[in-house]
Amino acid sequence: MAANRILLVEDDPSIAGAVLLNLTTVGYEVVSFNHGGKAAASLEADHSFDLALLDIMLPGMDGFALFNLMEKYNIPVIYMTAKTDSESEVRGLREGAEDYIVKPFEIVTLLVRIEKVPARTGRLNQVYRFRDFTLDAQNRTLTHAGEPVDLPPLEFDVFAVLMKNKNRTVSRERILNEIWGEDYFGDIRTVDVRIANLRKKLGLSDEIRTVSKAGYRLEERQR
Amino acid sequence: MKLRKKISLLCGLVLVLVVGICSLILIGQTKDNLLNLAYTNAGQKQRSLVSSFRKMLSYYHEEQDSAVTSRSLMKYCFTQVADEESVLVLDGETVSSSFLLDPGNYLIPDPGNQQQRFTGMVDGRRLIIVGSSLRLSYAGDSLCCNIYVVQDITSVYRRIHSLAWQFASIGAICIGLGLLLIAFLVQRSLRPLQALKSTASRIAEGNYTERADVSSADEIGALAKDFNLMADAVQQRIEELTETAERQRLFISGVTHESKTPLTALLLNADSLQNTYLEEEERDAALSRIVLQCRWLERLVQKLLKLITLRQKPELQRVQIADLFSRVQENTSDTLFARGVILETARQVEYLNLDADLMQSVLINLVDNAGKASGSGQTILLSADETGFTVQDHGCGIPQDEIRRITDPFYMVDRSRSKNQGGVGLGLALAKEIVQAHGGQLIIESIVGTGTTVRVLLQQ
Repeated sequence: MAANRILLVEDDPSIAGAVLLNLTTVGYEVVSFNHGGKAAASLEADHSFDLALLDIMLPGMDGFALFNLMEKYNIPVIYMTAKTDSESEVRGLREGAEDYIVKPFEIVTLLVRIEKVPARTGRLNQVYRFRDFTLDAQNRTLTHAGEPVDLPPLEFDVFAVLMKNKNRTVSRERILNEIWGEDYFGDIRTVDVRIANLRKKLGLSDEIRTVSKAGYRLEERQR
Repeated sequence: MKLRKKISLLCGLVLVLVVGICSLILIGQTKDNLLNLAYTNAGQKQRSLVSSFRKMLSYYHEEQDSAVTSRSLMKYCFTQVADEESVLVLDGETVSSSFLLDPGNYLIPDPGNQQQRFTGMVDGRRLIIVGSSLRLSYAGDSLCCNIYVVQDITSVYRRIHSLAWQFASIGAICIGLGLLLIAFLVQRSLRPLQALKSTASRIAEGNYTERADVSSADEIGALAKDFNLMADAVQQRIEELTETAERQRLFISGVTHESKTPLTALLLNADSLQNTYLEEEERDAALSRIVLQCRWLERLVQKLLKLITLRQKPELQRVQIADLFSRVQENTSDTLFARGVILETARQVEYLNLDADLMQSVLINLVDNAGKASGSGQTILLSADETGFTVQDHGCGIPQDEIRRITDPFYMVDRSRSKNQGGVGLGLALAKEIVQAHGGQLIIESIVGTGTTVRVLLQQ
C-alpha cells in the first residue's frame, strides 16, 4: 500500500517549508503549492490525494473556492487559517471542511488532526512503515520482513505512536495520553519499561533513541 | 411639583386674591351708595312732609283755637299731606300709621327741628325710620308732635345681595377663565423648556446628533443655544473618541492578525529543529526561515513603534529640497535599479518647512510603492512646489474602490505579492500619519493601467 498523499496549499514559504518537511519525515507524501490557482490547475491531471491542507488567504484562488474543487474530487480538507476574528467564516469552515486549525499552531497539533481524519472518512490508510517493519493501526498487526510479530497490546500501542511520529521526538506524556487518554495519571516510567521491551524484542536499540529531557524518537535516517 | 404647575398655581392664587378683594371693595361701596341714597331719600321726604304739614297748619290754625280744635286740625292737615309711609305721633298717641308699627317704640326724636334716624330689622323687614319733633302752641298751651317717615328698605338689601351673588359668580367665571389662560400661557412659554428637556434626555440616551429646536428670543432661547453648542462639542468629542477607539481596535486586530503568520512560521520551524530528526541542509533551511521571519517581525515592530510615537508634533525646519531629494534617491536607487525603473526629480522651490527625517521616510515609501507598481523602463517623477510634493508613476494603478482603504493599516492591494516584496502593510498608513502630523494631507489619484499620482499637501 502506497504512502498517504497530502496536498498542501500555503503561500507563506516559511510555513509551507516547515509543514512539508515535518509531514515528509513522518512518512507522508506531500505535494505543495504556494498559489491557489496553480493548485487548482494541477488537480485536473493529478487528484489522487487523501487529504488537502488549505490556507484561506491565497493568491489566485482562496481556500473556500478550492474547497469546492476538493469536494468534486472527494478529498477531505483541513483549513489552516489566521481568521479567528470573523465568526461567520469559522462557521463556514465547520460546515464543509473536515477540520480547521488556527494559526499559530504546532506540528504536533497538525499531525494529530491529520491522524484523526481516517477515523471519520476512512480516506487515509493507517499503515505505517519503518525499514522492514509494517504496522497496520486499523487491524492492529505488525510484520517484520513479511513475518508477523506478536506484541502485547500496550507495547503495540507505544510502538504505533513512535511509528506515526517517525523521526520526531515524542514525549513520555504524549505517549501516555495517546494510549490511556488525557485523564490518565499513570507512572511515566511504565513508558520506559515498554520502550525497553520494544528495543529488545524488535532489535531496535539504536533506532529508538532516547532524547534527553524530551522523550523518544524512532530514527529512520542514520548518521 | 412641575414648574408649569407651580407657576400656574401661584398666578391663580394672585388672581383669586385680586378678584376677591376688588369684588369685596366694589360690593361694599355699592352697598354704601345704595344705603346713602335710601337715607337721603327718606330724610328729604320727611323734611318736605314736615314743611308741607307746617305750611298747611299755619294756614288753618289760629292762636286762640282750643286744644280739641287744634288736635283735630292737626290730624286733618297731616292726612292731607301724608302718604302711607308717614306717621304722626301727638303727645305719645299715634295718630296716623299705615304700617302696623309704632315708630315711637324705636325712635323718640329730641325736641327741636333736628332730624333723627333709626335703621334696623323689624318683623323680618329692614326698616328706616326718620323722624323729628316739633312743638305747637295753642291757647296758652303747647303740644309735642312727632312726625315720622317709615320706609321699608328690604329691597335695597335684596338688591345688594343679588349684586354680591352676581359679583361672586362673575368673579368665579373670570378666575376660571383666567386660570385656563394662565395655564395655557405658562405651558406655551415653557414649551421650549420642555423641548430642551426631552432633547437633553434623548442625548443622554446616546442620540448625540439630537439638537434643541428652540428659537425664542428669551433666556430659554439663549439656554437652548448654549445647550446646542455644548451638544456639538459633546458629539464631536464622542465621534472623535469612537473613531479613535475604532481605529485602535482595527489596528490591534491588524497587528494580531499580521503577527500570526510569522509566529506560526517561527513556531513550526523551531519545533522542527527541536523535535524532528533533520538533515544538515534541512536544518539550515529551517534556520534561515526563522531568521527571515524574525527580520519581518522586527520590521513590523519598528513601523508600529514609529506609528505610535508619531503622536507628538514633528519639528518643522527650513529644509533644502535638493538635499532631501538626493537622500531619497540614495535610499531607493538599489531597488529601482533592480526593477529597471528611473527616478526623475523636479523642484520649483528650494526650501520647505518640514521635519526632514520624517518627510524623507514618507517620500522613500511613496517612491518605493511607485517603483513596485512600475514596470521596467518606466519613469517616476518626484517633484516639489510651494504646496508640497508629488510622486507620479505610470505603473499599474490602483482600482478606484481600493484608494480609500489603501492608507488603512495592514491594507494591501495584492497581499501575497506585497508580502513577497517584504511589505508589512503599514507604509502608506505611516506616510499618511506623518503628513497629517505636519498639518497636511495625503491625496492619492489613480487610474488603472495609466498610473498613480500621490500628492503630499503641506500646510505652509
